Amino acid sequence: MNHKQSKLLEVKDLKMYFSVKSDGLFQPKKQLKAVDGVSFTIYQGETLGLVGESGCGKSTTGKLIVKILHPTDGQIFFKGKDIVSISKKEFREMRKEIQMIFQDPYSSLDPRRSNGKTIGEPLEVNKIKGNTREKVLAIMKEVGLRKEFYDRYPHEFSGGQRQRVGIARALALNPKLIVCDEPVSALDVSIQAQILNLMKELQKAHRLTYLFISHDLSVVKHISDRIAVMYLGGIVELAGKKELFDHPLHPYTKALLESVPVPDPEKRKEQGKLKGDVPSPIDPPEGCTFHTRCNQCMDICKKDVPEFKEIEKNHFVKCFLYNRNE
Amino acid sequence: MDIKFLKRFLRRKSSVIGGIIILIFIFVAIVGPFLCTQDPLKIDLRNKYQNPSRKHWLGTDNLGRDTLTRLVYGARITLLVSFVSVFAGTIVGLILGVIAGYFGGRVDTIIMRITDILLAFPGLLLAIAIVAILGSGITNTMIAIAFYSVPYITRIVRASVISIRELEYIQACEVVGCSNFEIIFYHIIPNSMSQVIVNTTLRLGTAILTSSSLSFLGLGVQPPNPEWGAMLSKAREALQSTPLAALAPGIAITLVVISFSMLGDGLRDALDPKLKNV
Amino acid sequence: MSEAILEVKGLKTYFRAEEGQVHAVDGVDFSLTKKETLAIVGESGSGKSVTALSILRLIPNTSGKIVAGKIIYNGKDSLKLSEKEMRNIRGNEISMIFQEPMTSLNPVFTVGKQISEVLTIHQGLRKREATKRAVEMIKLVGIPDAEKCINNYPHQLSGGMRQRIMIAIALACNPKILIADEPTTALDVTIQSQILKLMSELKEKLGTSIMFITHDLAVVAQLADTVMVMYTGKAMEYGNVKSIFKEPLHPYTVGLLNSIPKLDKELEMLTIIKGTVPSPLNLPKGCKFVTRCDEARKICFDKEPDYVNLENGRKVRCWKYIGAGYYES
Repeated sequence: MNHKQSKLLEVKDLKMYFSVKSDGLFQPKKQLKAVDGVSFTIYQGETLGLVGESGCGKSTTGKLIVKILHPTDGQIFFKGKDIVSISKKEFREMRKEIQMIFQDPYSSLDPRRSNGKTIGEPLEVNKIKGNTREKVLAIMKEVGLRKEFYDRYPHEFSGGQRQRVGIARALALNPKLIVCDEPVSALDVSIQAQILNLMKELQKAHRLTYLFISHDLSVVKHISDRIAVMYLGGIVELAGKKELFDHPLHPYTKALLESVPVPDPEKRKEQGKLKGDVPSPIDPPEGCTFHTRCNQCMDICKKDVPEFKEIEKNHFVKCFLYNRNE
Repeated sequence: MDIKFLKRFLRRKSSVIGGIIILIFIFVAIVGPFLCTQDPLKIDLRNKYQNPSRKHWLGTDNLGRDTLTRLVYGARITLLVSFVSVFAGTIVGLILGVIAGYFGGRVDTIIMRITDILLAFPGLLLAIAIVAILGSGITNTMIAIAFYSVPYITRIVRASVISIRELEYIQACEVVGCSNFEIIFYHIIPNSMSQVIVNTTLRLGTAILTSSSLSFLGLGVQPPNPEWGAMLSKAREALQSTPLAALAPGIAITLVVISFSMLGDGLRDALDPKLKNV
Repeated sequence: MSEAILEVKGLKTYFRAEEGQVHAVDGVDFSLTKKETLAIVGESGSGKSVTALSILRLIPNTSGKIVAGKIIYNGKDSLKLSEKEMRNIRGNEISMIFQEPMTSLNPVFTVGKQISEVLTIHQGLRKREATKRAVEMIKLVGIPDAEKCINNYPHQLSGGMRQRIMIAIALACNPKILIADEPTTALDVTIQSQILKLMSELKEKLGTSIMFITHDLAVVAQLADTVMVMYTGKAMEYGNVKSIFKEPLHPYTVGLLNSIPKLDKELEMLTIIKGTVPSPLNLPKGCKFVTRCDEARKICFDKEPDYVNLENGRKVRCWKYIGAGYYES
């Protein structure tokens, strides 16, 4: 990994806690720790994959970065500038450089607006000069939408085509960073491939940087350069793609890799090795959040929280097996 | 998109009939007075409570005025009162509902508590109370009806806004840089409109009933204005001898209210499947 | 070669939509033997779920109808049975589990009640006996603290646990066939893994045949004995799982297998199947896959190929494998 690349986004100890209704009249209010101390860096031009199962906080992290949510604590630096504490007005300019592709092609487009208007809206709202319609048609061509689709409405199209509209909208402002929140999860398998290829092509053509959030390991592996594995609000391991798959360190990463079935009947794996359910983020376990399901759990894991440390070059793990918190 | 809606709407015969009747009444209200040969206010005591004749197709009322002419002029007043008041009420309800639903928090709580209190009163009673405070007459009738329409619309709009607010395309608007105003105006309101349209149409029928009731009680539109409810009220005394004097305005009221109801039902069904697809 | 316990012949289920008639299932044949796991694979609009619902005659009769076909179960054509006789079969001899456990479980009854209900209805067990059996079932599906669990409501359980309860309900009467419609699609991958293991174990233990419906080819590879690939309401290919993955015959199957990113292979770009699934109201005249097939010839546009039997039990619906017609055009 070439660390001479410039840091585009840096996240430090990000936290997002939601207040949850308490159980009874006199019980204290509970907190849902959706994101609980997450730190990572994204370098210009790369794709960082953020993978994890439900409740791990990956979508929330994505929303924090595009500032749909305001963090409870922590810092986010974009091109070296702190975007958490700046005013709304100051952020308006930077907003254009951080865009998002959403998961559900059926609810991420306004059903009452034509495709052309949806893709053109970022340009209109930010008062970008120039012929909006022409710009929109150019982007549509790039994402593989015929120009006749300009005046048509989302409900006339399939999931894959709607997702292309969503991608076009994200590209409209020529962003530097695109947060992709499960962009292919709701699509049919044969369409997923089309969209993934499209995203790779666009990345090359526009020198984009992606934060690719997904629960599907195979998809994440295909598109990412580096991958961060999340569990119950924290990153447990972060490494280059090949390194992570060849030498997973964290027990959760290992369990995850073992659970994913492979489309080859000759390579059947033993299933069900990771027992138990994911604990609730309202009542996370003490100490290391994974200790309740870990087959290598030690005494210290139940009491203390391990540090997220660089164990090997560019390979970070949050586990007492690899560092003892001296 | 709109052709499908029209097709769906036209499938329901009752709604189409309702719609046509409304259109006929609107036509009568606008053009009718120009076609009438008689003066709705001309008193002719010698000819009071006449049965239908060549001169008076529907007979006369208690002061010898031609019933048909008064009915036609009355259409204008009745429809004017209901359209204006419901329209005003809808605008206010829309604004309040959007503010409550979009911003939530304390603003929402305050608006909703006030709405709940208003909804606790039966509509007619509320209207009577308002007219009692402000005095009778057309304008005050319209204010009263508008006032009690507001809470219904507010509730519906708020519910719609809350369900839309969480959808991904609203989040997408935020991400591309839309201001709150742009989101509300260009996205939330257009997507809430179907609910509002249906409800408003149904409210029009209710408004006519309320206005007629108020006039019937002597509180609304004052004589000599030919308001249907007032006409109905006065003609009660001649129910035995000249039933038509009461039946004519009575049937007119019933017909228009039912038509609005059928129209509203049809609109709701025609718009609903679209909502389901969305 | 064991005997078939279920045979579906020429099944056609059509739906009435605003814009016309949708042929959701349009002539499907397959059979299921004892202890076999048949995977029915397809993307949206393939008709796989409707096939399953048709077998149990759960098609809502306001919009859909089984217009043709035979479903031979236990020597009788179940399409000709009365509703009462069908009710005896559902949940008792042929069970079904669905994708979303939250909406498939009744939120106002405890899970214990929902399991014992099946037992009281079909096996005539008394309440106490049924509750005892329910506890056994909950243990069987691997939920700890079964005695406490019977008093839980669905919303108190996690997604994985609810799915286990669904399996418990479905298997309570020891059915011969379990139809599973995308049972793990909504689950996390580690929980999916647990459920897949559970299903294999129970199949071995109870001797149930499983009809597993999914779009996930990796799950198919992990679990199935035989595979049937569906597209726009028709069966396109059928065969033993190992031979299908090793040597896919139909261009659609080939395309599907090539387009999924694989954990163990490194590819710059994925091979795609061009185009999209045609609208069910606007299907092409000849072979339904012709609009997306890279190998389409003239005959493919004109005539629909038959579903032919090849050697070693393979079946395929493609002109490439039917006589010389394909090569002539």
